[in-house]
Amino acid sequence: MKELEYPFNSIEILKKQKRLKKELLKNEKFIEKRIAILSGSTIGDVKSVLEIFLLNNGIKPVFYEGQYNRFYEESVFENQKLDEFKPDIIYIHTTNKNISMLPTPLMNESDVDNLKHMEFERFKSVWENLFYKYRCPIIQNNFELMPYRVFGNADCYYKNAINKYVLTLNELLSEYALKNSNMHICDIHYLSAWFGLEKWSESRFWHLYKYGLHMEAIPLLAFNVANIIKAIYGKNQKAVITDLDNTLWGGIIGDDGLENIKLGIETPEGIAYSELQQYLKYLKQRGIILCVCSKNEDETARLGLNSDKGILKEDDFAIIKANWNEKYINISDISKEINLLPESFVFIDDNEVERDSVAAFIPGIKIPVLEGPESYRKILDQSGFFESVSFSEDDKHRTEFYKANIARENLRMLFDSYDDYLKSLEMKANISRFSERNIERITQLINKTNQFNLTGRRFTQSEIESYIDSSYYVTMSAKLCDKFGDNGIVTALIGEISKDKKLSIISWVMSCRVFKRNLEYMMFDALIEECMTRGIRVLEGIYINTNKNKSVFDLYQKLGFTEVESTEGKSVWEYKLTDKYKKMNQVIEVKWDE
Amino acid sequence: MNDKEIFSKLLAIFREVFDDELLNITEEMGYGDLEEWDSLTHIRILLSVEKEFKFKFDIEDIGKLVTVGDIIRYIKENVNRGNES
Repeated sequence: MKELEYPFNSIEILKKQKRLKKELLKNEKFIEKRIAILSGSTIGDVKSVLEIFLLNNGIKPVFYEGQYNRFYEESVFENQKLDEFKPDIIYIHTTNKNISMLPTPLMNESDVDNLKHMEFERFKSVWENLFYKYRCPIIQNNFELMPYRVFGNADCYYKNAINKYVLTLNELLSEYALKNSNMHICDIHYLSAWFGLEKWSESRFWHLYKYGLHMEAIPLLAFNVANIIKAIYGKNQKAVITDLDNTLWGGIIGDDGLENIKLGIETPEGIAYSELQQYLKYLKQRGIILCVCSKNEDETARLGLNSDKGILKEDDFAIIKANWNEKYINISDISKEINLLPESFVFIDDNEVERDSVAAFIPGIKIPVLEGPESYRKILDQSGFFESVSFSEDDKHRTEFYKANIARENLRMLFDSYDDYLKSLEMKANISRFSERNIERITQLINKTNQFNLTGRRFTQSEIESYIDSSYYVTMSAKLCDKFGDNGIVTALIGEISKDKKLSIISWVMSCRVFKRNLEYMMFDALIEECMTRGIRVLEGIYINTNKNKSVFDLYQKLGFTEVESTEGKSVWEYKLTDKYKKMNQVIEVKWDE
Repeated sequence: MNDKEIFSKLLAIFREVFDDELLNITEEMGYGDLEEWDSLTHIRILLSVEKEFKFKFDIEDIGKLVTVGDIIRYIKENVNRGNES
């Protein structure tokens, strides 16, 4: 919804929230999530505006609203209401007003260290109690700086200064979050600076209503919390498709020539384009896929992309579409070629006509409004498309994965028989059970995968951890290599064993990078092997239609299951194991890792 | 700004906050009179008034603003003060 996209008007959102909510509820299908907000100060509009931003991302929240400033008690002591609520996510809305004791100038270094230790332990006991009881992600605000500086500028470094103390606490929070993948920080230290600390801390909102921040800052805060939640559920964007002329550089390369495009440090305009290129390069390095869609001759476009003045190079892009087709045609081709849904893409283009035409033909794609090159980076950055909730080694090589896939596709065209093509890939898979070593990537895979995802169910890392070595669960994941490279861990499966020794497949996902490689057959072979060893003779497969996983609705049928139950949106399948099982995979060489 | 303009701007705010295009307000109407006129809504109204008329309520006065009439009188007294943040 336009009103909720950056740069949004905070007052309008606060004022018109009833209408916005009503309109959003008319939209698309939602996933429902139970969100507990624990209070360090008034929750009020933080909740209602958060709801609007979540609805805008297809998430329908059910809220638990904690009592005023009872975040500590409601976490640490018995809390039947929260137990019954069964939160999917807990947001702890605290600010620097919830720091229980501040240092004074009279304290020496060790006093301050003790104080810091006590404060951190207090918050830690909140998180650990919540993790223990609810095993769900926690979003915790860090602390904003103070609206006063007792020591003036020295407040940022004296050990007994308050602002230094706030920074130290934030550092401790960050370290904790780094070690606990289920802990997410909402960085209000940054948000308050961005918003303007003077205004953020305007005291009357505290004195009158006990709001911990200026009311006008609430939409910015809620937007950020919603973006974290969106990312936790894998709904953030994964790729950028960019135009070239007047988007990645100034001028029209086909008319002006390579020498005359504006890029680099010589001109103010050129600097702005370079800043955008540098930003996109960073995004690529953290795993966001870059593609080009430009009305240009292919050769001319590549000339521009290899310019000495540029920071991005041809190699940084997974796909380059430079031709005279309508852009929506190119974009829908890109979407097919790299196998991502349209809503996973952000399209940037300086030309409003192109933006509107793409928006009309490709529903769901994100298209920020660009105004003047000097604001391109800001708009792309502040729109919250690419919030990160995990970062793995795999992410750094994501572009290479996609490129290798495109090379495979080109190879496929040379074969008449698909099986011959698959054999020519020389695929090797390594199967392993879930372990501490691969848990992060597996959690990320399960929660990010939409298309090959049989149940659509999302899991927290702690849930998945609890399945490791459990006798009630079968867990399997697999890495796939071929002659074009290593794809890393690309598929995972969780089976739950019931008392009557039936195995129910509660989650099965596969990365879209490795579709149509017979990997599902290999996984099923391995699952059967595992079931034989564990004395399991009956398998149950569940398919829940999430609207994004239609391509696997008949997977269990293909594997030889029989449908035993079918309602709208859900089907249950059964498979009876016999000793005569014949392996389905003939093209992948398999190894079990221990 | 004349009384009529003030009233119609305030009415527009009420209609937006309550999401009711047909809503009418009177001077006597007060905090609590409309079903959804709770404390959170009251704060939203006051914040919208500040933004619309470009002044800030004094912290001591806010508690006294309970009816539409109170708000209108306050606006009239302060609308030209021009102390927008």
